[in-house]
Parts: sequence; structure tokens; C-alpha cells
Amino acid sequence: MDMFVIGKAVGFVVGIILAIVLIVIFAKNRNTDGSARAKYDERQKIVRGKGYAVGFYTAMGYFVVVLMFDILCVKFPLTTGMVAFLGLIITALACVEYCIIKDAYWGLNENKKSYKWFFGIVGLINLAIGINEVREEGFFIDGFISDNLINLTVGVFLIIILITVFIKDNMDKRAELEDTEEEE
Amino acid sequence: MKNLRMKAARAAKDLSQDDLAKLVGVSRQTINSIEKGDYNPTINLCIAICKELDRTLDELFWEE
Repeated sequence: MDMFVIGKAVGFVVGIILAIVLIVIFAKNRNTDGSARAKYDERQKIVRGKGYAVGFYTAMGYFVVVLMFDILCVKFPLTTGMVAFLGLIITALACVEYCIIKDAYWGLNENKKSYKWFFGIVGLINLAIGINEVREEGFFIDGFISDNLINLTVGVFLIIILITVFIKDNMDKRAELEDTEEEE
Repeated sequence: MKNLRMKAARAAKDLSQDDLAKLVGVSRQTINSIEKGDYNPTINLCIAICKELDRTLDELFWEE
């Protein structure tokens, strides 16, 4: 195995570990009770369970489609890594969007405002890195959509989440106002 | 089915959904879902709500 591939694999693992450590530190600092874990009420726990089911069925659907294309010998200019990564992103997006819409994404002890900033900044950084990589190396490397698009995909993923959160917040504010008016 | 009795009891205590949610340790949306009849709370949450609103389980949650 050449050193570049080993370096890339090590970098990938180190990147994931670093991301987990940073998220735990961020959560400990920003959560209202100083805990790294989000706390959910009973309804939220049920909804989140359904959210994971939505994610699971999305993953099943995605891999069935990938398998079908493979059986039909339909080739896409995607590396195996990108196919797997897109599966992860689509699955996570299905679960997260469901939880946001059903008011079960944010825990009771989470500082929502900080997380929105966190998502926005990390999303924009990833978008910037992704756009820069595409500009320098292009979409395709050796005829395949390169793994360099990972940053761009993560950026788009986080921005979609952020947009959904803002839309949901606006809907909630309107509903709250209507409830208050109704009570008066 | 909407839980108008709970809504009325909360309003009588001059509590917003958010206030009651904080008192019983759930999210505002959960209180909203209970009042709208979209979510059936567990007995533990029913008891917590009754205690905060000074009502009995029958008064708030028993359907005639």
C-alpha cells in the first residue's frame, strides 16, 4: 500500500476523532447544565426513535437503488468512497430533518443559538474548502467525481439543516403567536 | 382530541406553554402537542402537570 493512501486513511481517522473531541468540548461549554449529552423529554425520545427509523429506511432505499444500478451495469462517475459517503449524508439528513420538523432535534439542555452559529460557521468553512478544491482540481479526477467533494457535501448538508431550523423557528413563532392570541 | 381543560387550567394560573414546560421539565412543543391532542403523555408527566396546575388527574385527563 502506498504511503499516500495510508496517510489519507490515518488523516481520515484522526479527523473523525478530532471532530468528536471538539463537539464534546463545545457541548460541555455550551449546554446549559454543563453536560456533553443532550437531554430529551419523553415525546422527543419517541419522535427521535421514529427519526432513526426514517434514517434506517432511507439507508435501505439508498443501498437498494445503488445495488439496482450495479446489477443493471449503470455506472456513475463516483468513487466507492463517495457512494458510501453520500449514503451516510442522505441517511443522516433524513433523520435530522424529521427530528427538526417534529421538534425533537434540540435537547432541553442545549443552547440552540450557539449550535446554530456552530453549524453556520462549520458549514461555511466546509463550503469554502469544497469550492476551493473544485476550483483547483475540478469536479472530476480520472473521470470520477473526486473524494475532494466531501467538504462541499458536508457544507451543503449543514446549510440545509440550518435553513430547515430557521424555517421551523419561524413556523413555531407564528404558531406561538396564534396560540397566545387565541388564549387572550 | 384537544385538551381544552388543561389549556384553561394553565391559562387560569397565568402560565404560558413555555412556563409550564419549564416547570415540568419538557419542551414547549410537548405541552403544545398535549393541548392539541397530538401526544398522549405518560402518567408521570400527567401527574407533574396536575401538581403544577393544582388539579387532579380526573379534572385534566379523564375523558367522559
